[in-house]
Amino acid sequence: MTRTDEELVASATAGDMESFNQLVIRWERPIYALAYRTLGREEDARDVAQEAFLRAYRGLRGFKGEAKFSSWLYRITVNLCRDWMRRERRAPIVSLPEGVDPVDLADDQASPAESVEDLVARREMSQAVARAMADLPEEQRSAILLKEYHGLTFQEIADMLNCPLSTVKTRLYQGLSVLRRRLERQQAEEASLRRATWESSS
Amino acid sequence: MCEQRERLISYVYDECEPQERQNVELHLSGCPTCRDEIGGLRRVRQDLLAWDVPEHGSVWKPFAPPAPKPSWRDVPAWALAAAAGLIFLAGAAGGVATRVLWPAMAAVPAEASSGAGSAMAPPATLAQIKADILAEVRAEVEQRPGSGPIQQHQSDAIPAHMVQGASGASPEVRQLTRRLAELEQDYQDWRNDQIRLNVQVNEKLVGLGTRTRTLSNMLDLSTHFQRISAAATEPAR
Repeated sequence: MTRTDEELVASATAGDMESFNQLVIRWERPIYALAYRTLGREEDARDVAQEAFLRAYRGLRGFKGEAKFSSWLYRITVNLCRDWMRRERRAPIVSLPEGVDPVDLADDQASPAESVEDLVARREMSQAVARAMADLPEEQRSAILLKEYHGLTFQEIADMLNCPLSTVKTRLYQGLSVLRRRLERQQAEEASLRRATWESSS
Repeated sequence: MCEQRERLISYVYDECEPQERQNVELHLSGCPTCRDEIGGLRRVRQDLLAWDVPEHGSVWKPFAPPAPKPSWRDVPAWALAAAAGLIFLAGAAGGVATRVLWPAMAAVPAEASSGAGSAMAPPATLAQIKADILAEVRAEVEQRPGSGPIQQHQSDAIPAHMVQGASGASPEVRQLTRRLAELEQDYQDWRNDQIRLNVQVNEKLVGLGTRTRTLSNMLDLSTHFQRISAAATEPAR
């Protein structure tokens, strides 16, 4: 029987280290993903995720269960990412590969049924999204990340970012609208480039 | 552009009340701008799904369970110290108990004991019996014709002239005098026994003290080794 986060937190607070290990295993991927999408670099994401769990462990006794454990963990991570960017004085990095390695592509295939063309398109879209997200103001980016990739409610995001509910909705709307325009423009440019390449080759 | 941003966002994320949802759908049926907006928001949400996170190893080194310790480390230092203290106190309490309980055990009335030699009375009781007997002897001797008043001695020993004086006394007085002499001897024996016991207790206490010091030294050594062990196993910073 799977123990809930609250049960694991209670055990960990009582000194059961294995319970905290279980919490880490359960939340490691989402926390790393949030840090990676916020900061854009794997090493930074790894450091922030480690620090987030360390802070959670140290602060476990102070966690009163008023919010979900996951929300508390996300808040720690968001704050750490903010501190990180402030300290590094930079916007998120978007690491762009020089070229597409077919071997790399094979490893990255979502399913054997996915064609190489689809895979290339997916990776291009992934990079396009990363670029577009990196250009967003931090508040809009955080709101979109927490909503889109972590499924938090508007209220949970508002509590986490210390802002009114309506502000969260506005940030989401504005952020998604900007993304939409940029991605549509990028897609249009890429389509134009492909067409030009095809025409020149034929 | 309709001022419906918040309502559209709630609708897109399906985070609105059923009534609110119906109202938005009613609005969308008559507003092509908002329909286009909703379509655009849904597409961009679809695009966002393409953003992958690279595979990564665990970011966390799991806490290891506490390492098994040598058996001597299972007992905390404070518990060893407490145990040593208890042994010491038990020894001391034994000595005190001997002093306190021994007279109480002997406080059985002399009449109830089977033999005079085995009777053991506390000093207060003995003194009282002795005083009573002396008073009786004195009264009987003084009542005899020609006898003058007998001088009261402060010594514990029965005055020889009283014993002599009692030789011609009645059988009851002679019996009392003999009884008094026996009690006096019992008292001396009891005191000797007590001194002997005290010596034994003190010898035990000295032995316990030595053992306590040894334990204390062992504890110091143990603490020292624990520190060395902890310093050796602590990861380099």
